[in-house]
Amino acid sequence: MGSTPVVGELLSVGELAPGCTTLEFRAPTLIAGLRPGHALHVVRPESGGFRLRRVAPISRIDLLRGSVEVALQPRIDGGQDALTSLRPGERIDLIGPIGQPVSLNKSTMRLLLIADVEGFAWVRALAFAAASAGISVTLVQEGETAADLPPARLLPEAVEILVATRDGSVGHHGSAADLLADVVLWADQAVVAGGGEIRTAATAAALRRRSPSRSTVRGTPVATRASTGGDRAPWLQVLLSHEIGCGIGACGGCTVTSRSGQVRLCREGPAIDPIGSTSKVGA
Amino acid sequence: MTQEQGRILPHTVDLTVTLGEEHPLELERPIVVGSGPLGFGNEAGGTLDLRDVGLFVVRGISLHSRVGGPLPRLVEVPGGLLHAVNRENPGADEVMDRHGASWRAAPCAIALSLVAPSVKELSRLIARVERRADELGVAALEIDLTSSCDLLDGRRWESSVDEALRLIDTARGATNRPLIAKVSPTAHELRRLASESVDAGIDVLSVSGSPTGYLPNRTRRGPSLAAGVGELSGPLIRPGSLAAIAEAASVSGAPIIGGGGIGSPADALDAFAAGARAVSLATALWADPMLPGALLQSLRRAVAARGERSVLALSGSALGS
Repeated sequence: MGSTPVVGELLSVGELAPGCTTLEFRAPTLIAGLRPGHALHVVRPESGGFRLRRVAPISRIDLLRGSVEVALQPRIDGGQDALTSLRPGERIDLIGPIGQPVSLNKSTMRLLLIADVEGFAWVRALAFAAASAGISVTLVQEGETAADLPPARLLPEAVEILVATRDGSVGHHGSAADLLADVVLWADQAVVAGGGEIRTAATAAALRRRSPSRSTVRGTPVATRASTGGDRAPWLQVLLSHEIGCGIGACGGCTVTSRSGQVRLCREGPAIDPIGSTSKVGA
Repeated sequence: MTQEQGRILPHTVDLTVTLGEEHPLELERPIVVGSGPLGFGNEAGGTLDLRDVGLFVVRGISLHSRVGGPLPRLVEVPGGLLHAVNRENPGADEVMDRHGASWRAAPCAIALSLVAPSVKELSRLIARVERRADELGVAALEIDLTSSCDLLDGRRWESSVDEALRLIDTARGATNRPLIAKVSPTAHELRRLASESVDAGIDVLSVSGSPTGYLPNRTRRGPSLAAGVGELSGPLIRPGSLAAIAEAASVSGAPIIGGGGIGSPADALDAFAAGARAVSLATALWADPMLPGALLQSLRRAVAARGERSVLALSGSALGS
């Protein structure tokens, strides 16, 4: 309801990772206002004529094609998403943007992205935007096993990817948390997306970064850049994924509580500052 | 009336309804935006055309601020949504400060949905609201019997007819405004509640509240909603809601606002046929904010097709004589 629906023509159906479907829509009039961090409401009639709004993060914006790619989020009830049955050429309503874009400071030249498999969709568009702006981007990507991971070709070549798998099938044997110690001191800003575990790991790393002892685990010199006076965005932003009802900040379905007050993910979110606030977000 | 050879023209159909007798609530259109999905007033902006609406019920307000629980507060279920916002609101004073101006300017009637865990608190809440209600253009008050009651260990007011009637009686003693009592289709002893609530003081019974629901999380241990039990909305509750509307309409002396899962004009006509005098729209407006306008057109056509002049002719048309 926050914006007028725009009819989008489905151009292609893809996959970011096993089970994570993407839909690319041609919607030239919509994409001019879209930025990384935004989501769209995708509306289609379900059985019985119920028109359901489904929130989907923007995973790619292609200005040349006039298209936007969104990723379908896993349903919390484990059900099959009816949107996966859409076929190229079909047209459905798109409403957006939902939320605020990720905020990068002008002084940021080194951006750290942290994601698990579910969170990858939320940071992919940001990786493209930052890389094209000349910002050095490192992605710490976590997954259970190599087969779960999004392929590297889904990101710009300039993006450095550090991988951690729980079974050690590729990259570091362990979690993303193990890889953060070095890179948090390198980065000017960081953005994390995914489940509670990886959000907690990123928040803990951000807190350690603020501590007086600023040395890496490898003993390499700390070389953090001084921020300029105009920088407003926090060092770490957490992107919270959640189903969104009205999309206009009215229904309270996506509100989280912080020290600074209530944050409606559909309006002020999805990025929150986990250090400056205490979000009560369930697993 | 314009009548040509016995034909009623749709645009001449009278859509006005008066709900209640002792404290009548007059609506220019028999369409209600239910409390909750569209917030306190300002949020829908220009997307929802309130000129197509008869009554906008403001999201539930309480005497003091109420904080909702952690996420997830909303999950999709087959045929609808399960939600648990816990009547989160910043408190009556702040809501009136922030949104009162939009109520005054609204082209439809405004009702405030009141949430109180005790009789005493409701009394204080109404006193607080009444101080500014005229100034803010508040036409009616809704008592939310689907909210929780301290005396019932957090269960809903509607789970005990006696407690619900006590709450209504208290409200009646505190205001002369039209009083709406909101119940869900699963209210305990709905027939008795519908029958006795008029004597307790209500003017309108709104059978539009959400029944409760629960859904386990299939990918992680525990419930889908952080709160565990939530409230259901969407088409899956429609048949149950229609049964409750029909039951209440058959015994209640008060007019019925019918709702629950209405997603199309045809669904709304079903609610009228089951005995509703006005219909309540809720989460369907998220996907289709133009629904009230489409419904008005359908109502006009349906009334005209029956050769009637007033929308009241539709109410209860499916009920036995």
